[in-house]
Amino acid sequence: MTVLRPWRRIWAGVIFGAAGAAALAAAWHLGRLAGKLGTSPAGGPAACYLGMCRQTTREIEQELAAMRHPPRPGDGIAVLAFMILMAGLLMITNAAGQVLCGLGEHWEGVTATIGRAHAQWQVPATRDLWLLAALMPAGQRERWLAEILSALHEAGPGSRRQIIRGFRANAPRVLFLAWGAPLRRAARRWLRASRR
Amino acid sequence: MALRMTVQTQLVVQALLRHPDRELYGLELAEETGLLPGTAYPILMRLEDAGWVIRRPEDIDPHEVKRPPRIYYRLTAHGAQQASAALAAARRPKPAVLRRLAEQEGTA
Repeated sequence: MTVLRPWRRIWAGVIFGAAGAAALAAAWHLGRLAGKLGTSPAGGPAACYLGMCRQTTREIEQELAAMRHPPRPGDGIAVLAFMILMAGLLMITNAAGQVLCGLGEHWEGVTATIGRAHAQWQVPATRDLWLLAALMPAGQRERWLAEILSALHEAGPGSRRQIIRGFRANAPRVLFLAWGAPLRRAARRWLRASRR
Repeated sequence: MALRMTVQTQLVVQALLRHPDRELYGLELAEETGLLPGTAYPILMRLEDAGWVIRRPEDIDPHEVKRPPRIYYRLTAHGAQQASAALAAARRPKPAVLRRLAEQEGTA
């Protein structure tokens, strides 16, 4: 196990602690919002629309009434806090770079799932692809844009939408792969520096 | 570097192996494999990172030919060797499956 120098460990703790506190605050507000949406007559359909649930307000109320211990909006926070604590401990004891490298293939799977879900929710539009290009490292951006332009130009009008959908569904995965190499290099440098 | 040979990766590698002396561009490769160009792209990125594939931007004047330049992909000699071995390994039945089949035959 890589042991970080004490001041680096403190910094890692401060950073992950701050990130954890921010995530907790966001989860708290989201929980309250979900609670309000789920139980108010006007909020029920809105919550359903947002994909928080696939039930109507009446169905939710019936289900909650049948439960002995109905869940409260803030219940998820305990689980989230535990997860953040575990992630923070893992990061502090193993160094962020090492953990991220170790999770390599799983992250790729996660990003692929996010991409597929996003592609299903929205109507395909090329502006998403240009926006995603802006998030890439400079070297990969040119390549990504060249590939999209070439594919869109040569595809027939009927298959354009399909092509955009395909690129967009794979965009998170491409982003992950594009940033993977520079991040891995940075993590290795960080680990080397922390060993000295 | 060991690459995870998913079904899509196998399709892309097979298409590249079918044309060892020809360069293929994204859309052509997608048509050959039946995958969307967007799906083939991250696979090609991974293959390139592993040193199996090299890419070459087409050397044309876009204004003259009235289309953007394509990016051609080709397997390297090392890549072709590695890809053939990886495909053979992916096609080989797993020991657990063989054991289960043997057990089934034993009981039948």
